[in-house]
Amino acid sequence: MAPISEKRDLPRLGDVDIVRLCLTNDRQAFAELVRRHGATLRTHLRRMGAQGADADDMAQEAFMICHEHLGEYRFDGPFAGWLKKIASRRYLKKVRGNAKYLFTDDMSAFEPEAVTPDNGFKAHNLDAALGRLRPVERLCVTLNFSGDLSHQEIADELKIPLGTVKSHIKRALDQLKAILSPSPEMKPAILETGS
Amino acid sequence: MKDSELSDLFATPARFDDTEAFEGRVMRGLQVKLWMRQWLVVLAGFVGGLYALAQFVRLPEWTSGGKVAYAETFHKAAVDTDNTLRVGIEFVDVARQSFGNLLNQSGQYLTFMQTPVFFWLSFSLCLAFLGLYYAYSQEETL
Repeated sequence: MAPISEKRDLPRLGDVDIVRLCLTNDRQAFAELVRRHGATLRTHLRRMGAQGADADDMAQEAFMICHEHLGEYRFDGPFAGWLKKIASRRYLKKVRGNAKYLFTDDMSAFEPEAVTPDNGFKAHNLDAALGRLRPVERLCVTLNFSGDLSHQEIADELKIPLGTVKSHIKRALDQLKAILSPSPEMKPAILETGS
Repeated sequence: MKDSELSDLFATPARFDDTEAFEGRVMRGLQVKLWMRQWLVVLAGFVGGLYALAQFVRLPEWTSGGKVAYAETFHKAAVDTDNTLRVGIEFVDVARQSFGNLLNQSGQYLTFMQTPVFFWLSFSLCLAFLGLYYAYSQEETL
């Protein structure tokens, strides 16, 4: 049992200490985990492709599953990573059930306008840039960069060949770099003094 | 742009205005889940207890209304007013008979609960619950 003084300093404690407190059925400690990682999880789900309300529902479910299975956390990696894996699997399960089109070859009906270096589309932030990718590319690159899953793990989760995963990620990275890099024709503004 | 810069972008969460509301929502959901689970256990215990009671406690020749029993009980209670333990026991007896009569009058539930049909019905229901619980736990496996 943690001392009361320790409970008052929850924001100062590390994730590992807070998880240990949660294992003693400390509700305040779990609320602190939600406070700390809620935004990260909601962002991760949105970047995977979940819509706003859906993403929040799944984030909530992920936290509840996490609370249920907290004893299975092995403290062998960042807690946020473990949480993201739970949420990712939750989302993928839903996607497999409801949006089977995501993994089919013919995506023409669902694809946004292709991004090429010629059409000069630029985004202000990562989320807007991700919105320009094909759903499966977006999923792969987010699982790799945000979910910290290896290519093989992604292939296992999505049940698609490893080579396909690699090509999806490569194409997504190329497009993201093209969209997010500053435009070469943008030159620094020249201030006129007026004199 | 380098891969590491992209990693940094991915590591930066978006800002949400409703952080506190989301936290409250998660904690409420958790509370409801725990509450429902507890009450499911209580309900299962109650049904199981009732079933066990119906199996072991036999109350032959119940009379609807129980006028005779009431009159006798109240007479004894009036005679021995200072004997609180006895009065308490008799009160429980009245309550038991009233409850038994109520059950008897409303559809012969206890009789039904002592039949093999009820046993197989409750047994299969329990099995179904266990099956559902197992399926759900498999689904939640991380």
